[in-house]
Amino acid sequence: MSNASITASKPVLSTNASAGVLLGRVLLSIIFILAGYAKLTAISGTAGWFASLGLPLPTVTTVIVGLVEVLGGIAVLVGFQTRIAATLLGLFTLAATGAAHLDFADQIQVMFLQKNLAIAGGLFVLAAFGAGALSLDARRG
Amino acid sequence: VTIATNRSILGTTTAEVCIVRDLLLLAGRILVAALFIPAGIQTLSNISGSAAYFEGLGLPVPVLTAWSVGLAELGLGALVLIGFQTRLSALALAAFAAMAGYLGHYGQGSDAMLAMMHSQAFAKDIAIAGGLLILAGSGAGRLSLDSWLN
Repeated sequence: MSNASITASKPVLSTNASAGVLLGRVLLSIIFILAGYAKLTAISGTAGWFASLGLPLPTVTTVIVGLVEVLGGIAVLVGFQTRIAATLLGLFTLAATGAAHLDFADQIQVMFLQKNLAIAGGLFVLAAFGAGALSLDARRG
Repeated sequence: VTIATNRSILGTTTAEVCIVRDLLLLAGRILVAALFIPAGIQTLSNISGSAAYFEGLGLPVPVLTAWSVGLAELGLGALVLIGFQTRLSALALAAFAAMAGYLGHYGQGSDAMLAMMHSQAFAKDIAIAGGLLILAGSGAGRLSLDSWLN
């Protein structure tokens, strides 16, 4: 494959598409920033929940999970190192879903599992595409 | 013509990076479709139950709503999966997800436990709508009907 065909296959983004991707990043990041903030401001309560799920070192896990959610969410929001942040956050979402939502007898858990998979899917699309023109990544070149 | 090497931490070439991105786009589309297609089948296979649920939410013409919702979930989910008219389908599905989350989960729940469940579901629906907007901006990549028809 020549360079020309690779260059030609790159999508040329309209302003509308860039704005859409920015709005998508805002909507996609809110849940992570809020969830991470809630964990970091209620560490002992979250650690108790993690312990009940059988996770090791619940307090350390709480802080790490909270930081991953907040920092990953902010990176997606502002479009900083977007491909890496979105990949990590997508894999994190899959892991978190495996740890917390695998009770297939509970219909609500199954619904949450499916929704989480769809969110991870959105993050993988973002990882593939990048943050678009309206992002720190684009400004930094 | 030599293929320029990409500034990748893995030292991969541009062509390899493109393939990884197409695979990520396909994986993302599969994960999103895995929510909407089963939901659509469930809605369509129980129209009267779905209509009763929509009526309980205060929506008008519940049977028509049930058919419309089921067909939107199944049809748009399938289009996103195979990557046909992906930008339009993803945009429509984003609007649907945000509206469904708002109508079905925003401010719902008769007790604290249910209210928390609904607010979590609403937040997830908003995030899903966000992912679909990004797909609408990016397109489906090369592993899609859009790409093959082009």
